[in-house]
Amino acid sequence: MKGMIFDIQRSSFVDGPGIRTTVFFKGCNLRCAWCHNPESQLHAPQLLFYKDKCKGCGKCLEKCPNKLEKCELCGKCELYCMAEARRLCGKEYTAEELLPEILADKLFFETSGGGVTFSGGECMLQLDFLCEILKKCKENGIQTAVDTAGHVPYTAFERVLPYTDIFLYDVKMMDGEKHKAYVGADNALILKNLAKLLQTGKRIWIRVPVIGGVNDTEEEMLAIRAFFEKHGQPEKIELLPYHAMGESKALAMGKTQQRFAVPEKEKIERLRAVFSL
Amino acid sequence: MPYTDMRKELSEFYFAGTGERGEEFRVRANAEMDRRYREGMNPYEMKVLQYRVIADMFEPVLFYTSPYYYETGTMWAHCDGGRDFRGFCHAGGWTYWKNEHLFRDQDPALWELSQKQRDELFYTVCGAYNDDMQHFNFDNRPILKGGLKGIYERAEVELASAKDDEERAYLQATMEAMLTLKKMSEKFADKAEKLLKNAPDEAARKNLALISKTARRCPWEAPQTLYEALNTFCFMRKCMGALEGIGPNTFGRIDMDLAPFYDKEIAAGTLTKAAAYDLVCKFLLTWDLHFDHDFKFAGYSDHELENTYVLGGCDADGKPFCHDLTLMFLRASREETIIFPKITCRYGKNSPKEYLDEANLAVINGTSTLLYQNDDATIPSILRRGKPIEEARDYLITGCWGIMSNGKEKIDDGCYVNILKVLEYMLHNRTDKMREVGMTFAPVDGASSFEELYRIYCDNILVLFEERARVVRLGGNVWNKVDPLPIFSSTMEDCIGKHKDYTAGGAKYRDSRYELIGYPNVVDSLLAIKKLCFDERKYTLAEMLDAIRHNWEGYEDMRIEAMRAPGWGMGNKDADAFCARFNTDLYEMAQKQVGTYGGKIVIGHLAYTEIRWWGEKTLATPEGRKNGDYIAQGLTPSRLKKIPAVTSVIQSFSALDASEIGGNSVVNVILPNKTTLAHCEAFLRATADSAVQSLQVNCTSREQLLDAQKHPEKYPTLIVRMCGFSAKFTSLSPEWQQEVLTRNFYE
Repeated sequence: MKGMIFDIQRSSFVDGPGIRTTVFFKGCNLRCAWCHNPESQLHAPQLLFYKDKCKGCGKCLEKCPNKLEKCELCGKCELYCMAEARRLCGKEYTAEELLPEILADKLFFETSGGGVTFSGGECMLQLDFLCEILKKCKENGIQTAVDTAGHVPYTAFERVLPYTDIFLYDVKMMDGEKHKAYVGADNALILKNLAKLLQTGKRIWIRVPVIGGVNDTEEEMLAIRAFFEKHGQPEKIELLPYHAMGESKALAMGKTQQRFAVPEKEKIERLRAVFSL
Repeated sequence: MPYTDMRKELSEFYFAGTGERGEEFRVRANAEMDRRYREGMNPYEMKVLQYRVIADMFEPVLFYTSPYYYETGTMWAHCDGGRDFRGFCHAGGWTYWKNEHLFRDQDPALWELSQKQRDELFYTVCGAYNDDMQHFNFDNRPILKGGLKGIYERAEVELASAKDDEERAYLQATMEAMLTLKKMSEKFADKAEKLLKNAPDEAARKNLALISKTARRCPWEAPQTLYEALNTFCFMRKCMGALEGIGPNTFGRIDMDLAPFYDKEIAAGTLTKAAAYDLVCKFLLTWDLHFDHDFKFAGYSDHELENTYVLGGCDADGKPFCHDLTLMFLRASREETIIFPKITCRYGKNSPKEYLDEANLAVINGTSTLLYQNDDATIPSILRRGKPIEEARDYLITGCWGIMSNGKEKIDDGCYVNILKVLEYMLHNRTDKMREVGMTFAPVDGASSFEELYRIYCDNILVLFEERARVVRLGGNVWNKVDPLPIFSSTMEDCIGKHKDYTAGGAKYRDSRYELIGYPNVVDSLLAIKKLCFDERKYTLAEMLDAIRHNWEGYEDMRIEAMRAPGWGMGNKDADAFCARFNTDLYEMAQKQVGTYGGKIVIGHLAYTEIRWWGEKTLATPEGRKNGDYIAQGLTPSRLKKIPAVTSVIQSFSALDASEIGGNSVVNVILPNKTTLAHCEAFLRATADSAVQSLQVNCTSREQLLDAQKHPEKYPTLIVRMCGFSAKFTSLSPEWQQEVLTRNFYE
């Protein structure tokens, strides 16, 4: 069995506790308008081309077997592009191939209370592979985290629960219609799953992307707070201010991405106060 | 930032004019020494004459705002005591210069040859042969214990059993040196009394009254209080440098050495923690105010005062050491934004959290003024040299990265041995130049396997190692006839007992160090050749050699493939195994060499600003370096490599045997801005388990540095760790800013 991975980031400080290795799964069933990893949306590998980085050396044209008219995802253009303007995104791994990449930083996990985080895209969409690699990590004493948007059947959670120490769970907003408009799907399943998950006693870190003009109000945060008051408190709630990093990646795929306002620092502080953070 | 008056007074003295005043003194003092010099004087008598003249003629400098007395006014502010510091000479070098010809006279042909070898950057030394004039680890402990008087009395007792003229001359010179220092201290007392009459304010009166009383007695007699002990560090650093002409580049384990004074006074109620903190701040400011940190850094070491002090580590039983004073030094350095003296934080897997947090606080906030030195990888390397465990645990750092046993040895430092140059000569087949430098390096052009090529290269390194050892021995064996060092030797544990100056082999150990230049470039080069020419056979060796001989022109594809080949710091298992093998081979080749007085030669991996200067004079190499590109710093991965993560760097280190690296190794890492105290602590504890020895950490990003270039006014305290020292980023010349900006950033 193979998993489609688009990036492995070692020594990450942001995807859960401690020092972590984050494995990014390719493929997502949501389409958040602000997505900071738009290259993660499709399951299939893609070639990204960052026009602004291109120095026009012509090396890619020279090396491409199809003279850039058709892409076979051979990766030659990426290898010879010194400007790093071309990036092949998406590579298949078996669990046996992936495991050593994770184990390489075991020492750092141990000294920091860190571990591995499976992120995406939506890692739960490659459930069989996810379960296999999670199990292998646990067998090797690695702390595991699953970073999910939660838009999957709860049975998926039931399968990963035995091998998952921490869930990083995205909550965008409480209003279902608005959620549908910005994320491409209703939030009913997401919230239902979360309510259930909160009852399992697992460590849960909630991550709320704060998007200017979309959900950057105290009312939105109060609504989220109310959800947890009703269903149980997670270990942590993190507010992640919007940044436009997804834009250049979308451009590199020949797409455009809507630009939102970046919430000011002071506003984020005010919103954090809603959760007494 | 308080201490406004002290900052003003000291900066007015130090920021301008000290060089000119030192030069004026040198001319007068040297004329007087020349006048009193008699043919046939032995070097010890000359040294005594030098001490006396300097002590007689110097005019003590005191500051109204400082309780410390130490300033002789005879040296340029930047000078660490080294007689010839960046072209500024001072009176303490008189004996040396008079006798310097003796180095050359032993073997003029070898002297000429060694000059050429040095010009060609095969190695360097801080001195004529290996008589390094810096990096002395002056041990204050005997003075803290028994004062200068204790040393005087010990030498006097030993004099009775001296066996020959040299032993007598050495011991008499030691006694004279102590009396000279006593006299200098008394001159400070006299000056304080004189100034006291017209003291401008109450604070000045208090300082001068304290000095006039204390300097009469201390350090001739052992210090009794924290203040007196701190002043002993100041006094010996400056007065020893002025008299001896060498740079004592470390205050040693200052927290550990001062702890008994602090504890005694705190227990007796004669000192408050606030007063102790104030003394520590003033001590650090004394050195930090020796030069203007906004001064443009462009040359070899424009931003150096060379001095470090060591904090933390462990005690003789291996228990982590962290005292109130340890934390005070770190806090004072952070709160007063002290760049010099440099801090060396010894740490290990079991270091207390409060210690690591206090050290890390400055670093994560972008004021990287310290060096982390990993005990868990350093102590095994000292044990491997055959030293007892309690000595190994008591090691200190001098200068930038010099590992030495407190009071038992002084290892020649700044002695770079350029293994990248051997590779360059070999691959570029520079036969004409080989004749000039008197070393023949076999070519590899016809090598039919990687193994053959590797063996040829190792044999070529051995040629350089042997040549260097020959020069080390020749220089070391005549040093005592040129410029003995009785003051420095007086605090070396064995010198007085053996009746032998340090330069005559009096210290307990006499090891030398080869600080190897370019290890990452070399291993990356060899791995690129292995992959492209032997494993994959994509190119012939002849093609690869042609490529580098043409500075990669016309070979751009090959260059890219070479840069993308596995290398040091990438966490690649096979590459790491090769790196470990090469390090072991280097260790064993060095083990075959014999240094001065039969001393061992240990290897280290580090480089100062040579990463740029020597890089500019090194031709293209197979890992993708072009003619003139930077050389890697110590064991820092090459900036040509795409390093997956900071953890992959440490993973590579885990493959090495740290005990083979007795001369220290250095790695630079740039962590992201968002690094927290918890992450930094975890990172350090994880590195403690690897072969990382010296760790230079910056927490910044390329974006922040670029912004600081555009808006320097926004970043007055953005301090970056350079090569064994730290500097304000905004004070770096554009070339040095570029050096930092092109490093590997781990985001």
